[in-house]
Amino acid sequence: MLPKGYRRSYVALLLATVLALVPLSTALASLCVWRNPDADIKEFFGGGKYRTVLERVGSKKTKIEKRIGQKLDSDELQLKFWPVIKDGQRVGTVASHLGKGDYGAIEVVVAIVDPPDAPAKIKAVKIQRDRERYRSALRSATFLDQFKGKQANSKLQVGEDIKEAHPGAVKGSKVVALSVKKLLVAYEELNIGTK
Amino acid sequence: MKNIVRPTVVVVSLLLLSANCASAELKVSAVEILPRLDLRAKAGQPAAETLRVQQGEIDLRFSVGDGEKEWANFALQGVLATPMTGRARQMHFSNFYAVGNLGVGRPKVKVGQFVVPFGTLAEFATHALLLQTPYARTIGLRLDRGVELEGFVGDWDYWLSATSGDGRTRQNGGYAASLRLVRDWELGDDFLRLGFSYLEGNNMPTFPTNPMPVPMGMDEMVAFADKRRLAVDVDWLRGIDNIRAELVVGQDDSKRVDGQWLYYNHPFSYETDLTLQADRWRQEDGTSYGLGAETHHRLDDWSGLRLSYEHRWAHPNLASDRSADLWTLQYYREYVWSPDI
Repeated sequence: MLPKGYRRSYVALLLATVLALVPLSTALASLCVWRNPDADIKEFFGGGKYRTVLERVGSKKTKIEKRIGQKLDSDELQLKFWPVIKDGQRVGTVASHLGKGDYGAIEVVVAIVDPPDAPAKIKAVKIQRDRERYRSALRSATFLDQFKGKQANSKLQVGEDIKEAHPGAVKGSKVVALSVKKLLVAYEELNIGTK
Repeated sequence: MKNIVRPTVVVVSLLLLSANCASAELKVSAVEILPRLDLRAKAGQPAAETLRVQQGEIDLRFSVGDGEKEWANFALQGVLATPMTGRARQMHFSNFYAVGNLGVGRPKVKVGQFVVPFGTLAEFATHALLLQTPYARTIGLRLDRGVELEGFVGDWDYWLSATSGDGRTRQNGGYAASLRLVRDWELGDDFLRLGFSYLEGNNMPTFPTNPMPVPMGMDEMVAFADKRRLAVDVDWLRGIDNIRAELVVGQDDSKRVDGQWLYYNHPFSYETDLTLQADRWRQEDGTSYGLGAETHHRLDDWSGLRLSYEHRWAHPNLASDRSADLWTLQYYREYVWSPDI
């Protein structure tokens, strides 16, 4: 039996080796947390309860990547969704996504609803944290309300169906649009509306 | 109180986990395993070291709910390797708590071992950083055992905690009670978060005035005092720059203490940023100061490098002045992995 100090070193070495060898293609969970569930649920749905659905992208990865037009990041192989229940009925789903802005993370929160006999669509989008130069424009209703009603098949391209928040915030606007697109496509492909 | 909270949280966790099998009502979900490796090399005084594991840990998080609502979220932190010992180690490691959700709009109840919600500590995660905020000086602890309420009233967020007041080593009675109120303002492109904290504690640990970045090897010199603290803290996003500050005044056994901490962070890109910070703390036996600089570069989504330099000096009233200069290079790598359950 190894002495305690050696055992700890051994475990640490083992951990270091495992961490170094784990390929990034292994399922890794989303980095983005949902910071203010209570306030957001009240704002989006007027109240309700929520639970967490953590879904692995798995075999849908290629299809999702094809639909969004680019590879998923290594932190996007498992995604979190929060179905919201109000008065016993599922009224929608919240999801969050961490996009890479010019100077830091842009954390986007979306509310998705499932209209009867129609594809899921965006009810609301908000930015819970960012570090961009044109923060107020990026967080403005003028910019964010453009996403309302968008579906997974919408283009969600800045310069086409989405106008940038500010001429100096084109990259930030693209990050937000891509986050919304990724979450909508994943929601549809992973059948989150039924989970 | 000693050794009660941790087993209680373990037992409650196991009961809830077993409820997953025993009951159709409760289910464990959103299980996340978070291994983290932190390698550091140090140069200068007081501790030059070759590259070694500074923090090897695995965190576990999961939720328990009934399919409609999450009743509780759990966070457990296991330490695999660290050279830190004694109180320094206890300040850094072993988050171990459950957060009960009473419902949307109602406060959350946290039970276990968690970061004391006083001043900047409540929201600024310092665990992985090289430059630490001055909690060791201002209140003498970081992680403590007890109960906390978190919620909001109107535009104000609040934290209210009752803890042992001595981390994991409560040995002589005592307590700490802390209240923190926070409000946000969006001012054009700027964002301002202003917090007010009050702490009242009995028999809380106090490190003697020293120039150490982290008070390692000083457990035998720790004294205990009845503490009263009032703090104002600011988190200001001024454009892309982040300015944080904390002003603390109070008493240790009716003797005045006060201190200031100022932090500035500038991002050059998504990957790279620079931090500068300064702090001062005055207590009955002397005054200490610190200046630090740290640069951080993300290598990818899961790993990065930090390099810091810290100069600290202290003027103890009954001893000669002392100082410390420390260079630290850090490489970290972390994951978040969710198993299928």
